[in-house]
Amino acid sequence: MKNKIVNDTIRLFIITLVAGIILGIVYNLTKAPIATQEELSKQNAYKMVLSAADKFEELADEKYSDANITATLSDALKSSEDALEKDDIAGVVVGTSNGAYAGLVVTVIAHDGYGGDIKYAVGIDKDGILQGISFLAISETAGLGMRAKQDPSFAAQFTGVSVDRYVLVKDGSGSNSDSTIDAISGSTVTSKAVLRGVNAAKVAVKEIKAAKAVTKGGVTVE
Amino acid sequence: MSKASERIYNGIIKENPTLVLTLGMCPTLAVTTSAINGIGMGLSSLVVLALSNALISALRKFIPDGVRMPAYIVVVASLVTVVQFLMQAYTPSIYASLGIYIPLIVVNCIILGRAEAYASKNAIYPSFFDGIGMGLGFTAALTLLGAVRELIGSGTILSDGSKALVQIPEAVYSPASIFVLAPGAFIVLAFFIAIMNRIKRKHGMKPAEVPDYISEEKEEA
Repeated sequence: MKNKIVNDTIRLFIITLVAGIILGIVYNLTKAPIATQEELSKQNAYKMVLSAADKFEELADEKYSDANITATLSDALKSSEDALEKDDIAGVVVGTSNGAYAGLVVTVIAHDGYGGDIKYAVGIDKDGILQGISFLAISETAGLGMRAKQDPSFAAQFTGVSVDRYVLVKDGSGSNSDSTIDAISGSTVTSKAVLRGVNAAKVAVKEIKAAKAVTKGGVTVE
Repeated sequence: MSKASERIYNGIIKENPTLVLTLGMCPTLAVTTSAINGIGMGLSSLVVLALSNALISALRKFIPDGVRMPAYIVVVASLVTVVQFLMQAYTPSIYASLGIYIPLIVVNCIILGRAEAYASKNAIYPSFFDGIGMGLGFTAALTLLGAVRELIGSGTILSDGSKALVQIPEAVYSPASIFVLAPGAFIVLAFFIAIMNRIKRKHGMKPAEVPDYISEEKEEA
């Protein structure tokens, strides 16, 4: 009986040990290629929302790093008209074109979606015009909230205009050329979450512009 | 019939994991909101099932009976993680479309179910094909479920947002959204199981008949 327990333990230990070693080796082998792929897909994702830029850089100041930016901007977010404390800014990158400032891409996480967090990138060019929204992670209900991503006409309402704040309307009076946004019918929660996130991105852009932050490559946001 | 094709027939019809064994209900109900989701989940599971079955079968003499469950879980979870790393590093486009299903596979009880019921008692070659058969059965069931739910619930089949393989104009049919929500999954699944029972009867099996070894592991599933 005792031998059985010892035997079982040793064998299970060997299995977990071998599994651990294999995992470690594969992790190390694939670490670099995965990082390259992630960087590549990030650059492509940024490019989709801000086509005017050819390169994307991070801001030099530590307070604008991915880890700190929400805290840095929390006062501005809270005091904005929508009281945006529910949203996180996941990161900001500066798009440059031939070494000159071209716009900002703000990645936002809206926590109040119907199916949990919605993460998306918002591209705003140097004139404050919203160029594009690209959804990175969304798990809204298929056929309802998912239309935020799948039906381009929703995101299209945000693009092409330069306003400080978007407003959601439910009576179909939304327009592609001003700050009113038509809610997706049957998915007010999702529409609201996306809209608030975009407004949060707007606040972030305003703050960073006001601070004249400088990128790692030495380009000033203005 | 050769051993390999027998296992594949077994996985698709006779012991279809979704419609006969009713294993893996969580992913089945959750991801079949559209046909493409069903295909993605099914194919990812197929690859992992075939590999994990072969691996468990190769280790079946080494794994002691008393601790076989933790051993299976370690083997399957490591395998899935390795597959995920490799996909992420070298086939990013496949990873982008199938990657989200990978974490769901680790907790998929079809894999542990097949390891326990088949791979731990049989040689590597038939175990591998048992995995492929089960994977194909899972894929077929999920894709059909997804297609029906998508058709009734969104009025499309294999839609990617802008274009679809089949698209019913909204003027003709207004989609019943309940079919892409959870209740729709149960309704469609029930109809599918009923149809499957009919097919089984034609093959000379009783509708409720499942292989002996399944009844005891149902609770774990």
